[in-house]
Amino acid sequence: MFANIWISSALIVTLIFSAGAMYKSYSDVQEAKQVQEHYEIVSKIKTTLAKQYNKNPEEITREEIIAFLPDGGNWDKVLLLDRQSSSTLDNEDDILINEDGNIKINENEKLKLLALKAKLKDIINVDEVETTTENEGTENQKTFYTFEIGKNEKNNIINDIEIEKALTRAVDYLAQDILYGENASSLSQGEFNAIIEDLTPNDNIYLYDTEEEALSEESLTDKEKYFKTKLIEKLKRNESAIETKLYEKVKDL
Amino acid sequence: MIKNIFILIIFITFSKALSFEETQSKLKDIRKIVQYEESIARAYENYILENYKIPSSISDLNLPTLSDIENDFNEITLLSENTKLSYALKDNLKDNLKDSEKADIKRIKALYESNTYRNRTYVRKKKEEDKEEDKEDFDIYFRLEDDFAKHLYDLLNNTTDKELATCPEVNGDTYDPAINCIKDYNLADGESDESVDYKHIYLGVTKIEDVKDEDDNSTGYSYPSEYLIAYRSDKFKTGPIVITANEDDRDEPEFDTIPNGALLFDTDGIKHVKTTDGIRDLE
Repeated sequence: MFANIWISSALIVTLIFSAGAMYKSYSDVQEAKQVQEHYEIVSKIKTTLAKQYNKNPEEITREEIIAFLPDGGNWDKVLLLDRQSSSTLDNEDDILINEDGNIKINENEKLKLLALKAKLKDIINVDEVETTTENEGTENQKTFYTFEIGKNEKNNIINDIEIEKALTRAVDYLAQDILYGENASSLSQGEFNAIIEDLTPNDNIYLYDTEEEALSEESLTDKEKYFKTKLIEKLKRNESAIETKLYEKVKDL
Repeated sequence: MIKNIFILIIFITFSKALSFEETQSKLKDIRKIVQYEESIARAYENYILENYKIPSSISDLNLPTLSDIENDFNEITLLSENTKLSYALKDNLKDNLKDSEKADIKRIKALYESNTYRNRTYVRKKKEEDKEEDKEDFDIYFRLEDDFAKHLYDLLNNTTDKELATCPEVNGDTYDPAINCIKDYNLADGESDESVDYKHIYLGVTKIEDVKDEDDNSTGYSYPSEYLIAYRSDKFKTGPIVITANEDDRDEPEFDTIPNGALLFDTDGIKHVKTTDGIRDLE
């Protein structure tokens, strides 16, 4: 009789423990799956936005993703946070998608890290994921891993369109400054170079052997020189009265 | 003491950062306001093409209003330079805000100023000398896309009242300074054809005279007889463009508006072409 009770209670205890362990491993698997799903969804959103606005997916911010999501609902909890009901976007520890639209994971969450690394092993070098350490040297020291989303969608961007956009914008800048603005006047070399520096779409121009930094403050980098040549060529082709007039003013600058 | 408590209460009320729904609806409003600015740019261009005139205010453009988000933004107006708009975001960055909320609003601002939703409009930093205390450091500009609209915009900016009016119907009048004006297309029989959108554009008109018939009698229709440049509106780019036979007049700024490669005829019937070096005879 006592033996019976002893065995059945032992059985119940074992059952409770194994059920607990099973649930834990189940929720761990779910968590790992979720982080992979998050990556997939955010990367799809970024691709859609990138195509729609011809924008480099790496430059798409969390704000743009939020504006893209359907109205209302707890999208922040579903997609942007770590799925705890108490999480908010203000608490750094809860955030899964950071302000730059990349995934950020605390190094203590080993399982999530592993799941994501497994998913991304063909796209990025998983040994060299960017880490940031906060509160260094204090009790609260935390290390976060940041995974960039949108690395392999980068080639969707059509660079020519971006360069062309920057050129038309540059023509407009010049027209405002020289022809129509309130204090319209002639343009100095320095002002012209400032406009070039402002508008050169560095990410969209590919040049080999470029100097990333200009030699001095006044001189232009190779990419900027390329953009300047393009701009003057565009003005020289002068397809409109504005360009004809501008070419006369900037051809020697 | 009471003042301090009051400030404390205000501080507590404001210190909660924006909730997700608030942030999201703010961001969507930003998209709406940017799209509205884009629509101003399009309407502005259409207005120029239809009226040969630069609109003096947004109300000229007959745009629908943004009633649902009107109160959250500053009213958008055209600024003194014509393709410049006022900054739409309300300035609520400076007052009693907690850091987290400040950061939220800063990111909302960044979205407004980014080029994501923008095509014809863009945000440009003000020049040092134009900066004003308590005002945003950025201006919203828009640009025209249609070639003829750009051409007209340039002409209109150099014309009095920023409008190309119909040429006056008076015999033998002379103009000093010269005027720029337009005539309806179908002039040969003196009747204008409403269905044709083309206009004749006359630049630098100094004299308007009546058209004479074969017997040298006045027909009652007048047209510019002395001018620098004349062309039909759809031929502004390639020509044929009629120019004055007087070579001394060809240094006038009006000639800068002719694109390179356009075919020109002078009033004596001699062919020319516009090049980067100026107007050359075609041999």
